[in-house]
Amino acid sequence: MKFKILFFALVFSTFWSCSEIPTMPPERTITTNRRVILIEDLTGVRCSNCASAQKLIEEQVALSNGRIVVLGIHGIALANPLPDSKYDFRYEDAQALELSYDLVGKPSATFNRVSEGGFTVVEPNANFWQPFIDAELEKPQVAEIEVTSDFSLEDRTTTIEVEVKALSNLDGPIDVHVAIAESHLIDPQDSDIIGAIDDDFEHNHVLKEFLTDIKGNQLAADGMTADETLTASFTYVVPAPNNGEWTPENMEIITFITSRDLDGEVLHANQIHLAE
Amino acid sequence: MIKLKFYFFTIIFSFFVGISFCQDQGSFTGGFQSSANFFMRDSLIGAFNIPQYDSELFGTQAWLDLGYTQNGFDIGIRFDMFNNSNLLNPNASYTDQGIGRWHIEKRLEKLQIRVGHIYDQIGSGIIYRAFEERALLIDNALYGGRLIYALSDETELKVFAGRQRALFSAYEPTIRGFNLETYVNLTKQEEGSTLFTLAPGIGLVNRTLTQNIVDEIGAAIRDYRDEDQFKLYRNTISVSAYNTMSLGPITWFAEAAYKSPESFFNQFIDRELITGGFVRGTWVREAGSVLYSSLSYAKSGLGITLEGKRTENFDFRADPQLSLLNGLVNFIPPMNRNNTYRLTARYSPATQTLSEQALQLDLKYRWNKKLSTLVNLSYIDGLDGTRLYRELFTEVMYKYKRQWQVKTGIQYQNYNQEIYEVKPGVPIVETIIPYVDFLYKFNRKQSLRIESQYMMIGEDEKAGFKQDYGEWFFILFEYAVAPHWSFVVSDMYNTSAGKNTPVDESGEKALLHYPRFDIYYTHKANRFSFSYIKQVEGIVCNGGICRLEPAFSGFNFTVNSSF
Repeated sequence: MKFKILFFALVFSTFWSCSEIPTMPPERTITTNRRVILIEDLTGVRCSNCASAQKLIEEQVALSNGRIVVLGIHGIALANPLPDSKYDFRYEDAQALELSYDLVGKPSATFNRVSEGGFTVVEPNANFWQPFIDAELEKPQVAEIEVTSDFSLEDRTTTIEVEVKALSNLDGPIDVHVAIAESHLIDPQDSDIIGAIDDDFEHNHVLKEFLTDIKGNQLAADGMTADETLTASFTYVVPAPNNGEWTPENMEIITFITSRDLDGEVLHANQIHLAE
Repeated sequence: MIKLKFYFFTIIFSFFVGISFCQDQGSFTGGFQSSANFFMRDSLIGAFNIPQYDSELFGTQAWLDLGYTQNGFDIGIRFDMFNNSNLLNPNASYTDQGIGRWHIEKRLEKLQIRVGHIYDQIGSGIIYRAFEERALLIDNALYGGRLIYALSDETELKVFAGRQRALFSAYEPTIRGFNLETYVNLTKQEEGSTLFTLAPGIGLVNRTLTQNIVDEIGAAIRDYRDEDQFKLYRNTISVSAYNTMSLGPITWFAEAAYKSPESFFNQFIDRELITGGFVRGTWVREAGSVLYSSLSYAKSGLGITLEGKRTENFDFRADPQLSLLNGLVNFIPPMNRNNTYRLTARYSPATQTLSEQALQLDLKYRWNKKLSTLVNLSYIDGLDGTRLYRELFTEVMYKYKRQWQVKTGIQYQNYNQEIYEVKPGVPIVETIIPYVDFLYKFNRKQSLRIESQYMMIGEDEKAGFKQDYGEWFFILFEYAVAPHWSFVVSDMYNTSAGKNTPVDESGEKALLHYPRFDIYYTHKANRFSFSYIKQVEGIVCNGGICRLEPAFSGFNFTVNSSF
């Protein structure tokens, strides 16, 4: 009996005698890859954790040197205005887009609308988003998108010209998506950062509407060959200013192309100001 | 892989058939449980915008257990089915089916061998507990092997290794453990001596992450400030030592557990971004500990139990990137009473794994055959002194012959909704709930039970309403006709509006009724129920493990059968 206990005590103690070589966190790398990715941030003014999520996304945008484009989708869940809200961000296209996703809660995000089993992957919990962002940033750039906006303050109209150039062969139907968003909107947000309603929270990249279909407009029916360039034009009238909203200088045009062969995955994205 | 599974289970089935023809007949057992929901949209209470309400309309889940024992062999298998089920995620739909678990166990004198899915625990479960809780869809069985060896009649050694079950597959990280328990009888050999025994034990659990998971955590902290980064390790070890001492009417259990430093996400700490500003929550690498003790005395109608617990950084999962009820390796005992009435159970504190210190006192006294009383006190704070939960629960029970009995009392609660339900900025919920439960037996077969509670709740001055959903009244009538039938009618009524009371089309707070009708039928080992339910959003808890449930509207049908 004593021998048995001694034997197992020795086995037990071997757990403590082993040492492990740790892994160091990777270094921040500077890359020459110019692929631009799209993050759709499913958020809401009543979603307290969404305040931290937006800050995390802004940090990634700042560190990415222009390689991340963001759309803030307020949609339906937790998006109804707070008692002191000036704005209601639950625009029709944002609601339709949110309903098209298998949303488990907010904050959640899509990363280049990467899909699994035919469904766009929607990841909850902002603190675990980094690997998804890194994976998309590491993919090679397959297209270039140039967008110009000719805005006239007189009639508040802009003409948007989109030029898409394939850098390699792109298979299957390619769709183009053009969205209008607005930033620097100061309005209340339930905030986990301060543990209360933040009355002066800056809402950025708030999706207002799509100028294309929610699923995109077909740009190329049979794909694109390398170096092929296709164009599309759109016209948009900025609504009249209302309580600080619809300020052209704060508005953005977000353009991206998707591949139907890849279940709507974003191939490349672009963002410009609506009015320079 | 599918072919391999098919051949494997064909062999298992053949084994069942083969041994059933053996001369020595074994014992065959089974159980079936199913729950089906018919969803009815009700946007006013929030029962909408979920696939089941909007388009699927029907969801179900079922479990079929089969077991066979013979000649020291114990074989079991369970088929699980989920069809548009909202059990995995109350806000989404889940469909899948397959073998949920299986095992083969053989006893060979002193050695017990088991392979397949294994449920077990070490001590009170603080460092390891593999268990099933279907209401919350927790089933974290170890998929692997276990050996139990009887070193002597009093001493048992257990070792196990495998991976944690994750629905129909397993998490990648590996788990292995060791447990040594013994029993010592120190009772004097004289007549009339007081029983005195000790049951000490030690345990160790080692979890090894995959390099992939380590790399993902590394990527998550890559953009942290240099002073917030840390080295990443694949291994974590938890150890515990525990003992149960029984001395006459006194029982004293104590356990101390330690977890080696590991990476985990702490949602209660702010992190400064390298671009400036702060966010809530950060990855850290810290060691953890739990101290738990329970002292009880039971004699001559008096029962006293005093429990104490201190928890620090003891969130232990198969993968630290998992959250909510996923990947739990251990179970930390709750420090509040398990309340069963609708309103007294509405605010139930989930066990906090990162920071908690708590005391619980339970006093019961049986004055005579007719009268008994109970007082329960629960006191839970964070390690930084943040008030988390307070409860004073009282009960007086009086029985009149075999004709009727009444239970009544009052509950007082303080519940930190900001922490427990992640609702920043809300005040601590304060409730006072008187209740009564009256059972009247008309005869040997027929009885009527009436149960009622009223929840008084504090004011949310900032919101200008009562706290949370406001005040409630609950009443239930249960008419039972033994041995088969039971009919239940209940209603939960929002008597006074709170901050979260829904608003109707006119913009006014809607004081709603939440009725429920149930019919239960029991025949031998079979139990059926059919219910119409309208239920407000709330939390469902079991043993301190809780999750938020959205509102429900619709019909429910359940079957429970054992054979």
